[in-house]
Amino acid sequence: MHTNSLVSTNNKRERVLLILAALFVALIRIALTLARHLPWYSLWPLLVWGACALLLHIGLTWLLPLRDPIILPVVMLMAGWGIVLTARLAPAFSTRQPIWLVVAALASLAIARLSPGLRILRRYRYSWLIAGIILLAATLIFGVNPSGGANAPRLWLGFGFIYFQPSEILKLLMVIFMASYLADKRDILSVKPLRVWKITLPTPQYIAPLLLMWGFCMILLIWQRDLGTASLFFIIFLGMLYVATNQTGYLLVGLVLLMLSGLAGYFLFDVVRLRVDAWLNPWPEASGRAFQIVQSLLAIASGGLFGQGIGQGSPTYIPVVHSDFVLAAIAEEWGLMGAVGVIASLAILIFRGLRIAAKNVDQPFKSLLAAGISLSLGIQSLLIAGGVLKLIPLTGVTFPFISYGGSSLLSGFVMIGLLWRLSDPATNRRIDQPIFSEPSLEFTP
Amino acid sequence: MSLEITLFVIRIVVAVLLYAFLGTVLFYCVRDIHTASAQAPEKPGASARLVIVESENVPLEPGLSFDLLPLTTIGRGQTCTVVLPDSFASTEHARIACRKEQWWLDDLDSRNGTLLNDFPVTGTVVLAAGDLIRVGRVTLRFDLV
Amino acid sequence: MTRALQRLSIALALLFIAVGLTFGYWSLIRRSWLVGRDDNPRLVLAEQRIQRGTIFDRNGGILAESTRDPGSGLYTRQFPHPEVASVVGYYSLRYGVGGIEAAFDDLLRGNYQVTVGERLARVFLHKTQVGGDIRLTLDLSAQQTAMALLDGYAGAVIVLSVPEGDVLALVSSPSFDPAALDANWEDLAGDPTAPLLNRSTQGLYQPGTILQSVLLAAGLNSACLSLEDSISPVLTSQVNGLLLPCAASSDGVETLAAAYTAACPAPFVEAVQAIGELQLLAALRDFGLLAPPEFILPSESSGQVTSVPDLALGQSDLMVTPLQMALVAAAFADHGQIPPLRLVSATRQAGGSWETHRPSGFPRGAVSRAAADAVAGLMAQAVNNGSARQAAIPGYAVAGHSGIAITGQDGTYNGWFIGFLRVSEDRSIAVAVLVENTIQTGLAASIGGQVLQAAAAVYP
Repeated sequence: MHTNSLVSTNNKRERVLLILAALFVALIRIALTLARHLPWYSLWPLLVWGACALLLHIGLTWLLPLRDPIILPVVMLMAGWGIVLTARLAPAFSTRQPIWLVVAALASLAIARLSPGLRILRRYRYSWLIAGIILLAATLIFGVNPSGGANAPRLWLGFGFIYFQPSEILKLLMVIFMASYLADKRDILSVKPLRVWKITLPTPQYIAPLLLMWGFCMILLIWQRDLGTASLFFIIFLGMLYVATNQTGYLLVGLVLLMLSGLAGYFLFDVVRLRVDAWLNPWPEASGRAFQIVQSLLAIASGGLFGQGIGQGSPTYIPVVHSDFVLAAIAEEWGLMGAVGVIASLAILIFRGLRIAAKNVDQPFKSLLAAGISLSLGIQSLLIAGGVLKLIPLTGVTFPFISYGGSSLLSGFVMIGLLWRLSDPATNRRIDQPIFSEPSLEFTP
Repeated sequence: MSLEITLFVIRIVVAVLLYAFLGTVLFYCVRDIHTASAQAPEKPGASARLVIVESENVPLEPGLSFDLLPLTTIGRGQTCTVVLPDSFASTEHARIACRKEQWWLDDLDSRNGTLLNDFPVTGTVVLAAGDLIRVGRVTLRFDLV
Repeated sequence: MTRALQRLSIALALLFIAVGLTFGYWSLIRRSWLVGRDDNPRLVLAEQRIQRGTIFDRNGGILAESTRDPGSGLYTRQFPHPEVASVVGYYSLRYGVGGIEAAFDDLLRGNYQVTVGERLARVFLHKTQVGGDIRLTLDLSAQQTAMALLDGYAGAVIVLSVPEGDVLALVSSPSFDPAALDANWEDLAGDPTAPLLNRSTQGLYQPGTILQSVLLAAGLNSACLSLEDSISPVLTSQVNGLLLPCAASSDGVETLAAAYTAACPAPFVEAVQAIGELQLLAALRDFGLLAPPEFILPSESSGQVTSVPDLALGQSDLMVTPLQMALVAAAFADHGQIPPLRLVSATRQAGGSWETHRPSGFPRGAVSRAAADAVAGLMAQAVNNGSARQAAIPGYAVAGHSGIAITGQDGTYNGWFIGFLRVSEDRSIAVAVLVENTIQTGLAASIGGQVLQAAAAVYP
């Protein structure tokens, strides 16, 4: 294959960054082993991580030579950090996470490789979404919670000893559905014949299917009491609508709706009231209902600027620290420097994703898909970071790539696989561009 | 060296590595923006152009750029908009046209074919910024301005 | 769409920056407030990681030490001898510290001035904070003897060496086991016999007839009284309808000296009138009864006295602690000089060498040598054939005086004994004993004698 300078620069950059990430991950894992006096064979996840990194690098060099070279190292850095944190915070799960990483890496490579992929996603959008919703609805009947607890939300589907959270897949399918729908309908949605006072609104019949699908998801989520994912869906929905139509009116109406549903939730659901109260003033309830958030802040404070050192803090005082509160654990053991490092890594990932969206503006579906994926990862991490920091009420979503959780890791890597595809101009066109005809505006099921 | 000191040294190295990683990422991002803006022509009126990236054994300096006209022809012949003195190129080798605010490339049945990002161009395809077009032994990059 | 994407990027960037700044707010600006919160479980953990210093008795016996659990690396405090609880105190993660553990908390924890390198090593290397050690003047065997003698009674015993003022034993009964404090705290705190109260330094008691030594010394000092003063035949007194008896047989008591030896209260009522109010108060002040003594452990005193005439019976608003009475005994042992107290003989910082501690203060003259020796002579008689004869030890020259005090309206009495034993020309051992709720006049004296004997064995 002919390699031109751009391709070689790309690969070189990815290699340099991957080596830095590998050194970082290896050192923090070794430090953990030393600090907690773990046996040396417990370092095996490092080999798994290294194999995944190498596989993805070689695979992508071959499949998508012009992909964005920064995404893979950033994601692998975070995933490696996540594996170390799982071993640190929930040693019982330390075997599962590396295995999920292998599954996730293979899935992302498969997404990058499948030749008809994007078109199929776009064409059968309703089927995909309905499949996702059916899976989610199945949790209402067959749902379990692997951590146990009689009153805990049952958001998982169990297959033997593997548990899966369908809402993670539904999130991805929602993004694909909306990218596809909005790409076709955005011109019509931008026209606003309805005028209510000073706000202009689009014709109801065009926005209706969208609202219907979204509403269906929301009902299911509220029914399941998974409010973190519900608010995440809503904000992604608003963001994508805004990108597609460039209408600030949608954003305003959406935010008002969010406030209203928040208020309604406060008075209707105990879960919401508890979380909001604990957010507004956690201190009097520090040993009761606001225990988690206060412990989280204590962990962050005890980390200071430089942290207590890897394996040398006490983040396990925070309940479920390994999934929702990894950021607090990072802040305690790696300090403010580590926490800012994580936030910066994730921000870089999001901006690379948005850059891919910006480069694809000539092809609305791809642009919207990239923007939706970036938004989804960005809003999810902001929601949990804000919750951990008492900026916003706590919502039980995971921090992408770092929190323990197979479903979350898998859906994250699938999204990343899509971003790789979208970032490589050559592959894109070869697969999806209709030959000298205008992009069809309608793909109806 | 005691365990405590080893752990402390690792902490320092880890912090340096993390920020070295982030710094390198930032450096690459800035470089991307620089190359993008360096390629952007200052000339008004031009909305897209081709930049020579590679020109093995062809008397064309890499970095030389050609502004695109609404209809641009590329080839060895002197009548072409972009003249490539390359024996591997056909007289009229390929064409780039602007339609509906998009740039489209098609191969004009050239002898050696036109490659877009290393894939042969068979019909008419749309161009995106950063695309690499290979005509004969010359590689040109398509840049939006 | 490009424009919307740009705006979205800017909005997300601002949000990420806000998250970063909030991290900084909690981990830098609000740090000390959060970390110092009572409900921070890390505080307990940090405390358990400290290798707290060891407390030794005067012979190097271990009274309290911290041992490391090899698994968790955390330290737990061991108290091998619960008899020393009233001195050593307690160390609890839940209830704090008491006694010497409280008074020398900073030293024991290692909070003293350390080098910058050491401080950095603690912060960044998690180097174990090692505390300093303490050597007490306490003698474990004397303490154990005193504790055993008080077993079953509420009371206090203090043994001092004279003229050094070293505390050889300091016992408060009932006591507690500091090793089982966390488990028993509720019971201990609610116990009506107040085992957590250190009776020897903080228990304020009516002195009753034990005050006679002070009154007599004050009278002799000012020459208002003489030992040969004859007395009226009424020997016992009534206080609020309760009888305050002589401590010993009152047969043939005709002089003030004999009344003192037998510890009869009534003759002193008349005698005190002869001394005069100012001189009496001065004497109380000189004997250190109006202010708490300078001591490492928290000590009490009843403060100013208003009803001077009632002092004659020791049943006024003057209340004394056994420690104050031990110092009175020491004053007679040392010819009118009150020694400064010393409980900690030496300390050392981790890895350092022992530094001897000076006593807190200087010897004070309480009364003239002549008056002190005259009273001391009578105290020897009282042991030979008087109120304190139960304190006699064969082969030793013990001097002492015992007394009785009415404690309240309900007709309960406390027994007192002060005394000393000369071990050489210029060295002695002084003791004060208080036994609550006993009319047995000899009990306190008997305990005092045995304690003196035990102390003499270890303090030759």
